[in-house]
Amino acid sequence: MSVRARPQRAEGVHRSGRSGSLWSVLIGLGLPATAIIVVVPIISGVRASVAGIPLVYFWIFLWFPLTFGCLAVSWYVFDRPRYRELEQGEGA
Amino acid sequence: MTSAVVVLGVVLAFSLLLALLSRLRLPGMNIEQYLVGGRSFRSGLLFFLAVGEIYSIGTMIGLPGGIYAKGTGYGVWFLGYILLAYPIGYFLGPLIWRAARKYDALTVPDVFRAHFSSRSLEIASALAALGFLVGWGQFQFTGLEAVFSGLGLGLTPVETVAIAVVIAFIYIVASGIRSNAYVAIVKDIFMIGGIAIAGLVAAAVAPGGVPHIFGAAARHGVPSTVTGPALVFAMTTIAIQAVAFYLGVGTFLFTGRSEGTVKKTQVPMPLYMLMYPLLAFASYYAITRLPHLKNPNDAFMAISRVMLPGWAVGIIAAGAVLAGILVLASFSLFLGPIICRNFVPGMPREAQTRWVNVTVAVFLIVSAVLAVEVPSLMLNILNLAYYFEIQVVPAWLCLMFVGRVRGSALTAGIVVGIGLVIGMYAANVTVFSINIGLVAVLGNAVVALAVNWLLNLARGRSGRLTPVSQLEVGGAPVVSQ
Repeated sequence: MSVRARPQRAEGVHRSGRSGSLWSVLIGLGLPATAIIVVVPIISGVRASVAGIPLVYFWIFLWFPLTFGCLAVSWYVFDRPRYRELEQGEGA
Repeated sequence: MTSAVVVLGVVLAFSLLLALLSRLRLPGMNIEQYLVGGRSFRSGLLFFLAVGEIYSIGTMIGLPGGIYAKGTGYGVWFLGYILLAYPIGYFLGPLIWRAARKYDALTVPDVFRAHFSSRSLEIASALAALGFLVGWGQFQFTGLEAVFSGLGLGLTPVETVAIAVVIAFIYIVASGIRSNAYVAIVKDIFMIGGIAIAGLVAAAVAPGGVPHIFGAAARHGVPSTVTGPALVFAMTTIAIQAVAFYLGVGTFLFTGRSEGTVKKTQVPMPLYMLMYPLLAFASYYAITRLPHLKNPNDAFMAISRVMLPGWAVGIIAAGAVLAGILVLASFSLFLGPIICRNFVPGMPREAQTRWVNVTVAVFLIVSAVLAVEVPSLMLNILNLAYYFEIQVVPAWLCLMFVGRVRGSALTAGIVVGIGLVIGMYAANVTVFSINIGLVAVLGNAVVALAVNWLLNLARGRSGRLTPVSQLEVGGAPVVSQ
């Protein structure tokens, strides 16, 4: 996502307008979206089960913690440091 | 069921006390405090407020009813769209907050009016929100009816909704959105506890355990696979509802104290969904244990009554009732200002709180009447409500990412989208089983683009508006939390 500096800045507002790096988007959004939009239709007709749970349900249930993991990586690795940097820059 | 009723009564009384206590230590209650908590909520409170509104009575009553009546396709749709909404919300939520902060907005139509300088877009988006909120209100009341009838209290539907209306109204007048956030914590405890009890007991008492729950349901005509039109419907519904999830009336995001708060709050959201496997066990077990229920919406309460002692049914009922009433209260707070600010602009700020209360009362009564007079499968009501909400997606995306689109063109798109929704729904028309809302929003976007192009031809190119994604990150520092 591109960043453009505005000529005037409102009070109490930070500098950068980026809402996330490319890696953050790929991990935080790309992986979960692929798991749901691409993979679910492929496996939804399969009669197999895992631990007694039908495959399509097992896959969706599996992505509850995995989606949390993806978002946690996006936040703690990519986005949180950027917000901290913005805060320090603002406070300087 | 006496013990169930006692548990439910105690929990409801405690929730009312908590709502009243949430007002303490607040110096005053202006309209901004009332509706968006003064934009001061930290991530913990915002998290509970968000999940309080996301996991409504639809989770406990609607999903089991949907699976019971329509099978695995409805289960995949319901779980898939909520799961996908969180990553989308992680990236778009901060932009929603940024736009609201920039324009000092209390409602989504406020944002559109200010950004596009368009009164017509404000009204069109308010109409879409109105359609969504009334449908969502009906959704909650239908669920509440199922819970109260499941307790066997002998209440009429009118008495049921009257109780819900009164409690929701007390939450609201106590301290607006703030009391909802506090009550949401209690609701979460009982909702998760109730689902855990029902799911674990279903897995324990079902002959053969979990592996046989799904197999037995398949033998009763509910296979655990989704193919053909059901799959097309499920996937197109997941795609469009996940995008619309926060864009329609995600006003609760306005309460966050910073963009970072909004973003950080999304991270643990998917973990909340870990209760769903247990809910699925109970839902599929109901198919085999109680195969001839007259009303599918009764599935979860009915299977709970069969499996559990009264006090445990009371915990389940408390979670479901709190969830339903809480969402009614929150959505009332979204609707009130839409009426008082967007449909009737210029109302003195000090008069708005009073008129919000009046509007809320009318909204609750209209939704309740619809629930009593037009009984439906809960997930179908949910879908219908979303058809309207989806129509503001093109306007949001333009506001966030596009610089040269006229508000009047987006207005035309929304009007056509709402018209298509009403027309297709009334005529029961579908296109290759694709979600009606998706078809309508595609028509909406095409019309908006065409009208924008024609207006550019007639009047020359419109001036460039700075997309919200290109504004600065705003709000209080996130790392101080």
